[in-house]
Amino acid sequence: MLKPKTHYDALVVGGGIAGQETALNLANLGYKVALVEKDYSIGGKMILLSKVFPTLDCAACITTPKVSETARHPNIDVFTYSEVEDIYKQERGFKFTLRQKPRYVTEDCTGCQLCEQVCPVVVEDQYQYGLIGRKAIFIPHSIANPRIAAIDMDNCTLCGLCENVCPPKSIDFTQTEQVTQITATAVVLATGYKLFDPTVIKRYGYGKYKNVVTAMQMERQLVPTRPFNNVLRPSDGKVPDNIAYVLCTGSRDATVGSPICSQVCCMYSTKQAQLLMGALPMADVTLYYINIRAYGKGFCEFYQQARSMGVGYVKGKVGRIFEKDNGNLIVRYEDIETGEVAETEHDLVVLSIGILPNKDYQKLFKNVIVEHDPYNYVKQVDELTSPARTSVDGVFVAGTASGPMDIPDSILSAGAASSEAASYLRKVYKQIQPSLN
Amino acid sequence: MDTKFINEVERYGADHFKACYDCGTCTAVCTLSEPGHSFPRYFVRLAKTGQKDEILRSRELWLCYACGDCSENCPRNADPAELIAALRRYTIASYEPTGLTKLIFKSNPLYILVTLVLAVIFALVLLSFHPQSDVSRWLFKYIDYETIHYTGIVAAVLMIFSLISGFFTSIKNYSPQKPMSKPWDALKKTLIEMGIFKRYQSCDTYEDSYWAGKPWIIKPWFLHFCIFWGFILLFTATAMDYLFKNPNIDVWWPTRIIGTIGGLLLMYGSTIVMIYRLLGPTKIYQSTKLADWVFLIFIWLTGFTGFWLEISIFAHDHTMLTYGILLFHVVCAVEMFLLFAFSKFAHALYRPIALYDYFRTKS
Repeated sequence: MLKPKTHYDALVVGGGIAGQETALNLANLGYKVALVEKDYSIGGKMILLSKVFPTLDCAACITTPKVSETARHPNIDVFTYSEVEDIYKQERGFKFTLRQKPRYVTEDCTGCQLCEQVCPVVVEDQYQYGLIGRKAIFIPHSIANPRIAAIDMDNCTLCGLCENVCPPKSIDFTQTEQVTQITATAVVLATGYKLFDPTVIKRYGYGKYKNVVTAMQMERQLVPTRPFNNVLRPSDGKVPDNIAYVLCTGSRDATVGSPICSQVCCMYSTKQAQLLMGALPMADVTLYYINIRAYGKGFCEFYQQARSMGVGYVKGKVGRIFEKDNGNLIVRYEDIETGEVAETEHDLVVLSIGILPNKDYQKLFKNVIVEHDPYNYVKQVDELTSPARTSVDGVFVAGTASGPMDIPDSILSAGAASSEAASYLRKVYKQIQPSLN
Repeated sequence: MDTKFINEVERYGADHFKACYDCGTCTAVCTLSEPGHSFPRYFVRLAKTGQKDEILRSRELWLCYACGDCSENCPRNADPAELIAALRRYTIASYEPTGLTKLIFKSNPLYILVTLVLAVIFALVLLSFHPQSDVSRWLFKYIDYETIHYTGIVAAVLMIFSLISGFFTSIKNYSPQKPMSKPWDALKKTLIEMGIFKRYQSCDTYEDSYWAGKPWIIKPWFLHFCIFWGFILLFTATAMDYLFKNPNIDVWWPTRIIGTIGGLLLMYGSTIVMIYRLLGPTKIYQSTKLADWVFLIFIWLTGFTGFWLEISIFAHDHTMLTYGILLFHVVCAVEMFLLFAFSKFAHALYRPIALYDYFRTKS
């Protein structure tokens, strides 16, 4: 387990694309950065994606070099499977508690996966969004960083088979939680977002109808390291040939407390539709939408490209989904073009789920309050001229912690946060040491 | 296209429909919506563009039973059920030729004033039938009872004239579609629907609906069923009493049994609905307007005073209070029926017409 220093110039909370970008920028300026990630691997949501829109570049190919650079940077200490607690604002900087949780596997692990082969416990794989299973000792996913196994103690039976088989003897059931008090001069919140849970919308039957999946599950079926090496529907493993996308599931919907646009679901659905056209050339793909928001650079062309490839776009939000005996699904919607209610059969329905604020940051601070906007994202107190500033001096926000945005915007936001944090650090150090130039 | 029409609809009590962003969720979740009869978004479109003629002609306005599924699921909280209720008030007011309904539906104080003034007039008219009673003798010292008599008759004629006019206006708006079924078949289906509310029962049936899994005895369709049959039975009992001219007060006298059952149904339905409208378990009850209250209160008061009288008769209670209650009871009943074309009650006329037209043109 990495031993933390007693002081860092900046604490970055969250190791997704925005957190990494912020940490790298600050580290390259010479500042010491603590990057704290609650998950087993850094990389956030982006490392799990297939391609990025509108360029169709491989997401993993963009994010893994950045992940490696972050992990190996001499000025960055990456704390995975760790949490930040009790941040106190002090006269200069912040004091916080770092809780490093035990993986029960030491850094000696070579990532050989022999332990995975012998482990007798199979549980749902959260990194494949429940599509397949994983073992109780596991490497999170094939491009995880650090590539160190971890034991999921909630499911482990303590049989010790992994301990016997591990070549470098890296399994250590005696590992305990390490709690350390650390100080940092500035804090950057890059806590990201949470995916919308579609079980809230009972009309769509997610969790009840097997062939209703989320877009994240479809995304995992399209990545190079996909679990089935094909696109299959869950109920019977059939290759689907008529796929529907339900856009705005859990965004622009006041009934589920998410009244704003997710900014990404139009475009990632369009992207997945294009990828499906490639993966399943005979399949029909239909997108049910309220409005197509193709607002970014190259987005509209990307949307038109999908249309010309034969992706069906139907204006009208799906109101209800029914399941047939053979597992096919009937979607009921109003075709806005004609004003008539219609029902269409599909053999797989993908819910293009929206994004919700990750409210964890609201509990971090003890003696100051980081204000939130009406939608519970971190409030940008000066959105137009200083977008990374929050209501607390010395706390900055990067990426989707401040609102829904796509990957390029997250990286832009992280750039803003790192430069604002750097100038803040410079100002503070100049006060302490006026001779600093 | 009439852009001012939005303001007009708002005056009839639709406060939220402008928030609609045309996603069609309301139409898709509505169990009564079907190809050729797709609503409620249809009405949002008509209201926004001010297509008054289309609204007045629309059969779907009356096919809706206001279960409120659309409003529960509307992602913009645009409350389409509230809009439908407002457009019904607009249609009732437009079908009624005197213009009085237009005024009272748009102004709550005026609505209350008109209701009370009419109640006083009807009370005076009723008293004028018996100018020998103590109250009347005292009263008619000040007012000429002939005048009152004529006022009442004029009011009654006006009401009946409005009713007939509304009926023919609605008939005139018959859809121009080719009839697909025989008039008798359509009539049969309409009567069955009016009797058992099969279409209303199909509302609120999905597991995400507020009423799903609740006992049928407290479901909105059953309460509507109770009020409807309560009316029918009480009307039958009253008519039988009048025809046979036999004020038999025996509990087991058929007329009495029919009346008591009708009264119980009416009281049960209206009481529970009033509780719902007070507590607002779903959006549709939260957007209760004065017109809903006036109608409900009339039903409830008529039923309540009716039972009071029944008990008083058995108890041989012939005090002044009983006569006062009798007067009150008759005034409520008379006013409720005479305000038929001027109130929410008019749906009892327009829905059967719409249902008939719907069944006639449905393939």
